[in-house]
Amino acid sequence: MTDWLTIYSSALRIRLYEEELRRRYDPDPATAKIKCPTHFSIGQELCAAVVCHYLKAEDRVFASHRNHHWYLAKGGDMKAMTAELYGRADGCCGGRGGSMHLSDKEAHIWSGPVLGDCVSLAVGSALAAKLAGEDRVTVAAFGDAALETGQFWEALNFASLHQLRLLFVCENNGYATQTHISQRQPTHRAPWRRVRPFVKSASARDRDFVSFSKTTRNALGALPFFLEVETYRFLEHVGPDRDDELGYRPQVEVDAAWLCDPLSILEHRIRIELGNVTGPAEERIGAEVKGVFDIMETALVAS
Amino acid sequence: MNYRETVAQILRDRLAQEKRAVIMGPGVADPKGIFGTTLAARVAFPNRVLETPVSENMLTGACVGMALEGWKPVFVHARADFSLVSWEHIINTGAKIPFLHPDLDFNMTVRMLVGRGWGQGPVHSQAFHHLLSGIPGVKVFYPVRPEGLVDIYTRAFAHKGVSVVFEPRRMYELTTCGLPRFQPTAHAEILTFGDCVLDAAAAARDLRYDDILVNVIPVEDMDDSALCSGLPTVFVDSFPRLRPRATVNWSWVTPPFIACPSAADLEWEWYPDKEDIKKAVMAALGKPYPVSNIITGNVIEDIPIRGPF
Repeated sequence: MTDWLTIYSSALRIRLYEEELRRRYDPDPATAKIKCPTHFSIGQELCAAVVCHYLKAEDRVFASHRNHHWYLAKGGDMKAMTAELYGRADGCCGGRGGSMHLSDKEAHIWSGPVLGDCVSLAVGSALAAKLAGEDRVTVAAFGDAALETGQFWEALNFASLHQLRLLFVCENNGYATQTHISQRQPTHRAPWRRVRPFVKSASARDRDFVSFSKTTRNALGALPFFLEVETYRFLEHVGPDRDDELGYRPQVEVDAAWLCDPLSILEHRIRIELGNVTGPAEERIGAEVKGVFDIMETALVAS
Repeated sequence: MNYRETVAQILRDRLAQEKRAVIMGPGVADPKGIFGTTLAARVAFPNRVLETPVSENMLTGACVGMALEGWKPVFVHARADFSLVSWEHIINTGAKIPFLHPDLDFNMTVRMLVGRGWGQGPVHSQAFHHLLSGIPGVKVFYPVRPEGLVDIYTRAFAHKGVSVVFEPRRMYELTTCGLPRFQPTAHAEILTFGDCVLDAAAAARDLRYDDILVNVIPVEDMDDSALCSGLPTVFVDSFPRLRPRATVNWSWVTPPFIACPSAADLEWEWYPDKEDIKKAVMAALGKPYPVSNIITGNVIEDIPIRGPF
């Protein structure tokens, strides 16, 4: 139960951060204070919050362009992240990388924008651990479209060959930008089944929190492992808005996803089991997030 | 020591001096050891010379991942042609690390061998030095002097970012590339890229009989900005490239702008030879060609690549 509240708080922190980011996001380059395109994780927070909860501090995460949730869940510095989005020199990449390159050396989280690249880098990190005799875990976190790249299958082959302590986490939100998975992959076999010749694998849904947590714990005990997490991206591919008007996602599907928000479901379960314990967390996190953004904007004005 | 033996010693020394250096790639731990260049390292440090699947795309990314962890990977392509699937990580991830994280001690080195002779053909003979040298964060070397290899590799390993070292197979059995003595009062100079330094050296030797003094300068560090002397200059490359139009003072000598043919006779026609180079030097000097009938042999005896590989 303590785990539940910790994981919920981690996911809520991501949600509140990105809601604040949405409010402050201005797509007009002439007036924008946030200086880069931004891929929001809203709807997918629990994927990162659950997996990172079961990692140790020295474990590594390699994420892709949609990385805010992984960065924050792994313990990346929120101020350095925000400064990066504002294009400031105190950003985690000196303001030169922006949203898609969020990385924190101390927290052992690295991100890069090209889909599938993070899988290869994760293999290198896991191989380094094996050569050095370290038992840390490396996580490669990527979207379903990474399965369409050659390097993903090369990585799977190599991880299996060398029995690397590598966890592949596939956040299957069903879409690559605006293209449904049925237009990209044969869907008669789910991704987690297709990788079976190489590594052990399982599937979980982020809204089924208990099962997802248990599957993650089991996966970390059976590395290398491929964990598919069924999830949903609430907003547009890049940017702070919904894009229902484009019509590439059935409206009923989008509405159902918002109604079945994994974070709300988890909060509801916690309220039933533990009572109203989430309120103080929300208040505390909200103040932290607002404080970070205020510092950025105040400093910008002062400079 | 010849070129091949020197590379082998450099790689073994690298593993001895840097405990987290590792050599990877298809063929590095097989019995031939990339034309013998990885055998010494493998004997001394078998655990750090890793044979790999033929998955160069992912493995180059894995080298970036290892380098982020403080390791010093050396990845090997038995031909530069096979490296194209690696460019994704050389350019999109590795080259960007020093830009995004200048405080990191980040180095990965990629060796790319350039084939020539015995039917190497369209896709075993290519060199991409001029393309890769246009990428910030990638440092390109094209060493041709065996005696300069240690210095070049020292620079490659010290570079913060991705170092790419092109090694011409034509040089492998040679102990020198026979550069003519540097002439302070030279009339012209020839800047060479790759193994055509041998032909340029022969051309310079011929021209000396006509009192035309030419310095031959191999461009081994593609970032070297101290090369322009102002003399009439001929640039010679053993691989086709887009090039600016020649002027009175300088010109290019390259193979024709088509792929390299496989058949041996056609192949040797395709590469520029010393006569092509002499002609270009005379054009740069505004003088007629041919200059005289004195034709010498190559300064260095060429040792052709033998089959079957």
